[in-house]
Amino acid sequence: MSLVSIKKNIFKDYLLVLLALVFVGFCLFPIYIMITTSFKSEKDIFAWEHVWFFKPTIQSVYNAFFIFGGKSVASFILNSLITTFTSTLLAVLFGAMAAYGFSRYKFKGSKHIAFYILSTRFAPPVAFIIPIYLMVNFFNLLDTHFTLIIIYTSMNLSLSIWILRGYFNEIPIEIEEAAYIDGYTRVEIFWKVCIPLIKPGLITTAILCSIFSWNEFLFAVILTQRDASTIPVYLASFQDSMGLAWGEFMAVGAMAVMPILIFTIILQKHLVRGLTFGAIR
Amino acid sequence: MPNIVFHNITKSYDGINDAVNNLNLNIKEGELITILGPSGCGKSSSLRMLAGLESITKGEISIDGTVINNVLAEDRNIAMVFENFALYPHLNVANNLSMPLIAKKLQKKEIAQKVNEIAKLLEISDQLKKKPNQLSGGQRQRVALARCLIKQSKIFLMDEPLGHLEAYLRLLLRTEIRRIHETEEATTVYITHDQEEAASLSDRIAVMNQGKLQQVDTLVNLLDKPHNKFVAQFIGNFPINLIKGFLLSENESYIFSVENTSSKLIIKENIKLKNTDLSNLTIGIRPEDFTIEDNITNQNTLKGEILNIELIGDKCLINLDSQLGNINILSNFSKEYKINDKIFFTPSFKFLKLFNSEGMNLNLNE
Repeated sequence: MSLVSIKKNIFKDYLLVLLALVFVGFCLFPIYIMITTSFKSEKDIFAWEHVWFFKPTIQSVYNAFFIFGGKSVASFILNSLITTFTSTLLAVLFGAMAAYGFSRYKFKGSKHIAFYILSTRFAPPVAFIIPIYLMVNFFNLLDTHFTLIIIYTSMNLSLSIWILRGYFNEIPIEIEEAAYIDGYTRVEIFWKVCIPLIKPGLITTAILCSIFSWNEFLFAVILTQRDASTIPVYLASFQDSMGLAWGEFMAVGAMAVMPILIFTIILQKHLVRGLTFGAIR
Repeated sequence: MPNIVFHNITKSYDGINDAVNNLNLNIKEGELITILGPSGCGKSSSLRMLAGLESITKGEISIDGTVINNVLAEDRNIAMVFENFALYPHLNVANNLSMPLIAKKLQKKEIAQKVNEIAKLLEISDQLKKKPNQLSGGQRQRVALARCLIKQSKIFLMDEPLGHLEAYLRLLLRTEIRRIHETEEATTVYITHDQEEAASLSDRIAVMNQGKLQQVDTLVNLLDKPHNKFVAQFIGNFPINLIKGFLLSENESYIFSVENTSSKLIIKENIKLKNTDLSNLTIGIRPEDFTIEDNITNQNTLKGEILNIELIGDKCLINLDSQLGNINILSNFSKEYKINDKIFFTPSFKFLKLFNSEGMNLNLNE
């Protein structure tokens, strides 16, 4: 390779890095604004020209956490954590079981049933809101964690089944057959062999399900009032007849992003591709 | 040492075509039998039915007299090596080997001891901490063999276990398999499409084609006394020469008149003709059963022109355009031949292979 072409490649690399930096800046800018605004005084927030340098204040953060809405933000976050964690766990657990069935058993109509499951996501959720409200009200389950968990689980289940079915399909059948020969039952094989092998799939699904449950607003705002309200409902409450309390809004917004961000960062190192490599041949 | 009996076994995947058709096979206790056949002949299906990985459409398989058709794979206590190893990719070698023992609910201490013993036997002790993807093909195969052995089953099933290995490793592990079969006093069913491997390993070879068992015998008998044309063609290092013609009886001997030529072969061997149509026969002569002559030595000496010469070790395979048509002759590499040379040759009929129009060998003593 000649020197000229090496130089050209280096230039290309720099250009790529520059483009990547611009893109990262574009993505992070809203988060930067969110975090800085939550530490600004009201005067700085509403200044005509954007204030880049300011004296930080924790007034907004304090208001958001302890005064606004008359209830601590921690309780909303706790509600979100309970519904998100439980519904994600259930969606992944039942999703994996169903996906294994769809992947390994070919029965009459299995393809149609799999498609039907996906089709439950075709209609906009708002279409179901009134019947669901009536049902939940009938069973006297309004404003409970249980209601949100059931709804989020059922909404995530189709996604979970479809993602995990692909992962199960990738497991060579011979590995399961070897486990039969070794003396394991189908249930044991599912837990001891298949589940460890689809770990990246389980993590991907868990991340997607938890992001959905964490951010879901429509059902949360209609089916909960106070006790089971989640963080998106709390965020919306900053908008009232007096306008929007930007500082507090941003402070809670930043807080709301954190758990899911931390969850994803912790889990992403387990997202290794090609876990089944080396099993056969 | 258990014995295994396949009784009228049929397997059909689609309900129309039979992958295995009415298989009857008696595997004696302590025997190492090889099922040999081309791809799609039903050998793997037969093995998988025995392992319990495939349902049986018709017939019965029994082990030591007990019918196992309805026994689940996990309860059959059979050990198996898969063609593509099928190791657990998420577990290291030690844990891969432990799996059959954990299923048997053995104590941890006992498991560790057995794993170490078997690893020592197969020389993989230094690989125990590695995952399958860190091992070479040969090492993975050893792990697969070790996992099969550690179960201490009395029936080993091996589905082309050496198919994906280099030639030298195949040789090495072949000996290992035979040795293990003997020390463990097991009954082994081995599947391969490599007849050299089958010959070196097994007590008997079962040849299958298109779902049907063709013949079960030792390699020597398969070579010399094939039951039918398929076995004659399939077995042997070099393809057998098949010459069509018809037979005439004359003064206690027979004359085989080669189709479309004026050539005749005089056969003095006794032939059992079993009411056969003598006008449509095929004679099979192995390339090794010809002698190259310097000149015409007897009535059966024929002439041919060399079309091609292939060197195979210390021998050469000569392709001839001869009075018998296009044939192959295996010759000791004593004299140098050239293409277009004309040579004389005489076929030997020590083990005459004469097939009728259905391809059955007429000349079997049975």
